[in-house]
Amino acid sequence: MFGSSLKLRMMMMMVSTMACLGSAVAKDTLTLGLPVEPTGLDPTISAPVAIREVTWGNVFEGLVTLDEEGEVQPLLATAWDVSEDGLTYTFRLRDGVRFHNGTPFDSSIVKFSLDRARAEDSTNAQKQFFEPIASIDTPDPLTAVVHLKQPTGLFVYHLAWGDAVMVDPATVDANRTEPVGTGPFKFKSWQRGIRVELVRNDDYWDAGVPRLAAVTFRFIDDAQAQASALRAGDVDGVYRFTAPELFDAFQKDDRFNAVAGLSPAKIVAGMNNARAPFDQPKVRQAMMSAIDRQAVIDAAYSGHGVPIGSHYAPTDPGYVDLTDVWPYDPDKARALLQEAGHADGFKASMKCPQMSYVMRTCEMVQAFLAEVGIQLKIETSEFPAKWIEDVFIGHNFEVTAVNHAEPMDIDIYSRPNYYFQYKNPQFNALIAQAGATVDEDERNALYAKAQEILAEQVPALYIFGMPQLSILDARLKGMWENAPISEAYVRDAYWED
Amino acid sequence: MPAILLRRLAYFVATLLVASLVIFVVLDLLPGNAAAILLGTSARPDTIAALQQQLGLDQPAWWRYLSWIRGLFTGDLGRSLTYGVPVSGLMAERLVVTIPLALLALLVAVGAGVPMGVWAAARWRKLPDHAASVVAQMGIAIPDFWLGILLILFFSTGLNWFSAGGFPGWGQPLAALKALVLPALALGLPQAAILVRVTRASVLDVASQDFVRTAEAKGLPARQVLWRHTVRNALLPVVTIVGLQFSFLIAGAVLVENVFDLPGIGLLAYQALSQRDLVTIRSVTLFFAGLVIIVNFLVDLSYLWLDPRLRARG
Amino acid sequence: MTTQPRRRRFFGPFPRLYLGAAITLAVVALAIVSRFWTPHSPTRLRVPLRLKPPLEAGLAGTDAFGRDIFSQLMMGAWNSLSIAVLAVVLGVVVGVALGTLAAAWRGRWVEEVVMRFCDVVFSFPALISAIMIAALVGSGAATAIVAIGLFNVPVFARVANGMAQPVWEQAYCLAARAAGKGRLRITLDHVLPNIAGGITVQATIQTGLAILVEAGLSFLGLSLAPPAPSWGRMLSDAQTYLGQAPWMAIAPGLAVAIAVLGFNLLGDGLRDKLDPGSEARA
Repeated sequence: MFGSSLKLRMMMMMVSTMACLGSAVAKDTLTLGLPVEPTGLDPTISAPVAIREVTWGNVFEGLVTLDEEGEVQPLLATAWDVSEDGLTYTFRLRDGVRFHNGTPFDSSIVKFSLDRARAEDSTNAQKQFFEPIASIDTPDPLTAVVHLKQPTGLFVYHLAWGDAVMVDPATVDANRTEPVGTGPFKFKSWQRGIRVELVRNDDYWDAGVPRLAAVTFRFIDDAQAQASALRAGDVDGVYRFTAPELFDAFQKDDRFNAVAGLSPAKIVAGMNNARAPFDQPKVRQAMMSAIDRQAVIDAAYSGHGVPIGSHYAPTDPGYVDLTDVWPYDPDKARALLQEAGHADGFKASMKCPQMSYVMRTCEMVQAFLAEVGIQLKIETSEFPAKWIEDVFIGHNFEVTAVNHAEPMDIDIYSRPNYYFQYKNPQFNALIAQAGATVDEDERNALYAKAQEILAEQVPALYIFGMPQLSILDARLKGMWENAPISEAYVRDAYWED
Repeated sequence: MPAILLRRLAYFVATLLVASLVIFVVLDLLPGNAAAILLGTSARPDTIAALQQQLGLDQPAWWRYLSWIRGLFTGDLGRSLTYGVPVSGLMAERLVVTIPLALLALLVAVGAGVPMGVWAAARWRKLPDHAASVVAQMGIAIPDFWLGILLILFFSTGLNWFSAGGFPGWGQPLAALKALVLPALALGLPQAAILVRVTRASVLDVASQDFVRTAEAKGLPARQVLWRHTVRNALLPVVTIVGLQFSFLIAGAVLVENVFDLPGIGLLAYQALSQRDLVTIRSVTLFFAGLVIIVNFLVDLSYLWLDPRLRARG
Repeated sequence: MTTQPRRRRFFGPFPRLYLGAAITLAVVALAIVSRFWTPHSPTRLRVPLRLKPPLEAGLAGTDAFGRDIFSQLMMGAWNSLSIAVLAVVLGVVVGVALGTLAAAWRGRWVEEVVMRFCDVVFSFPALISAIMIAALVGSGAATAIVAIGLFNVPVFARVANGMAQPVWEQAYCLAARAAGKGRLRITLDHVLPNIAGGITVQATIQTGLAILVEAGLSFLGLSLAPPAPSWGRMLSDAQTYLGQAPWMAIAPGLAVAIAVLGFNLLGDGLRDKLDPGSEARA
């Protein structure tokens, strides 16, 4: 029904535009293709990116949000103060906000949502964001006061994430299959395996928003099928297109606006720093110097992507471009290996997830390292299950490669048991300090130093930041080109006549 | 008679039980756990443990096995670890794609394969027979997922007559059927090749039997002999094979479902396995095994009924 | 239509045998040669030469990394064949043992257990079970061999059992039994030689099937890891390049089809030669 009437409408619009006949009715519905179907629709109880794509900013909202540049903006909280000691945050809440089922939004909702996230039995994927909270006061319905145990610089930033959205206690347990939020769109239906339908929230607190009357997210797993659906008009666009080799054809097609934006996803080839020879910085630096990042991008992602020099995405606040710390220099690589006592190279195994872009990256890395005498044997590691078990939890690996999709996750290198097994007390102190710094500029300076340490020590090989490829109908406006966080934000989307 | 029936029934139930035990044990041995997968690479061990408890993964194995078996009798297959919805609902949603696909594929297989097999038998050892044999041999050698890719190459990427995959849902019946055309061809044509050989062999087998010679001796025209006597009797083994093909196609469609991006039950099995959604994958696998066992059981029964000689031997 | 069992043939007494043998030998030869020589390196990445059509760069063109597809096909032949053959050998060794034992101790519990075991294994869809095994032990050649071999065991058990039973009813076996010769001895001396022909036929056909299943497994990424070339994985990689480089999809599939065809024809031809009684049906 949707597909064929959409097609009909598009044809009608084209005909009437060409004939310059009067005003055709502006389209107000959107069918957007997404590459992965979410396993549920509640972002506060599990991690998958797909959940946030459907719900973040569309169905659910938090106290704050991010704009396209990754800057924190007010949303359900209109303003906030931080006390001198950084331990008390006073949020002024927006008036007149209701959930889709009519429940009014007030400070008790804020208390419930945050307490639920930090509860002992909470299964929030980012529970550590809420851990600094000591208590929450609700002096009046439009004020929420959060008391922290220690100063936490990124506290408000993390409140913008999907894991921190506001939920209604009455409906919270059903959010997984029938989400109820405060957002510009209401959940209508979910045909598993096929689509999720949202409709405009007519009582949305921001008048005039959203401009679209309905949005349908269509899940199309296979890139070929995505391309074919785009050409046939079955979808108005595909957000997070996953086949870069097919992408170029759309860039040349005027019917579409094909954009390669930035995303927080980073392709990182991790090494087990606790095992020889990866415990020697010179060896790791040699490996980094042996790799031509752009060539890997060309082969693994058809040239779309940004080389990175550290564990930080270009969309993260305070990003520093450190790709020239260890640029492509095979001679330098061989020299470093010699200094480390491995003039003849060495053999190692590489556990590689099966996704095509990771696999291609692994193959390129293998080829480049072979040029300097390092023989890598690739073993496929079924992702997610086996890889998480073997590499992530079991640390049973030498080299691996994976996509780290979360923004601002440089702190993983300070976690005691993270799979890199990188132990640097100086780095840990820096991260702790940055975490406690409330002033943004000071904090960014500290994170810059942290990035420099990782860029120089290369506990993992930093290869490239994945692009956010989106192919949209040329007349569709208002969608983000860059993605500072996992999203398919349709709040401001509209059709241009 | 009833004694033999009871014995067969007992075997059927026993085989199903053994199959369920094997499934459960194998899945339990699988490394990786659903909670860790659901919560991603940033989650902490205590969060994962909390989810594990919520999902009931910390209960002892025998308890989980028995509650599964009990649930099978009441139709409660548990809740998917990944999606949180009842498994029976999930399976039903996927079966409404795979069963029509399998039926369409069988239609293709029977429609193309059986007539060709009969024709080949009728022109036994002449050129058409050889040609049919060659075509059948090639058809059997072709992987069904490759055929699917070729069909996409020609009819979608090339001619743009069909989409390259995806399923719009039965809410749009015509579009849904259209989405199943290429997959049904990819699945059905190799099966058609098998049916050509089976039909031909069966027809020739029957044709050499006495009652056919009698009919010929009576002076009936060759064509009448063919249709009235031979083919009808030859169809029984063919029907058996078609029944077995159906049960094979339901699970065997996973590769074609993968190529065409159809939300079918084969793909559910594959996805549930990679998510370590044990609750879903065990019921789906048991369903596949059960389907084969039931079809075999029914075939056994039908042969018992049709061939009195077998009843005596049991 | 005629009911006479013999007619003059077009292509000599055993056309399928010769054709099948020719194709199979060609594939095997290419596979063996690939161990020593291929036109180009199948694994060297030559990004400037990526996605070139056949004859412009190599006999079958190049893939997304610039690797020569024909060389990959040759190595893929070795990989697919070795996995398929080893899996079938596994099935033959274990399956024939089980099947002949069941026939030797006919009527006792051994036969029941073996037959039920066959029933249970048969009921599992090959692909789903192979996927589960791969998830258990990790993907790779060993996994593929075990998974495919597992499904060949009941096939050969049934076939061996079915062929062995009539042999046991032969006079000389009954005599040997009466003379006190052990069942195992009889099996080794009389039964196995008699069923060898039929088992060979079945093994040839099963090898063709094993190549098909291995292609499916490596299509899903469950067989050999890169950069070892495998036909199924080449097909999987080719899917997103259909518009730009269709040869990437056509070549490996054609290779699978030809190899399977060769083994099937060979198997049919051997059956023609060794077991002409079933010729009327074949």
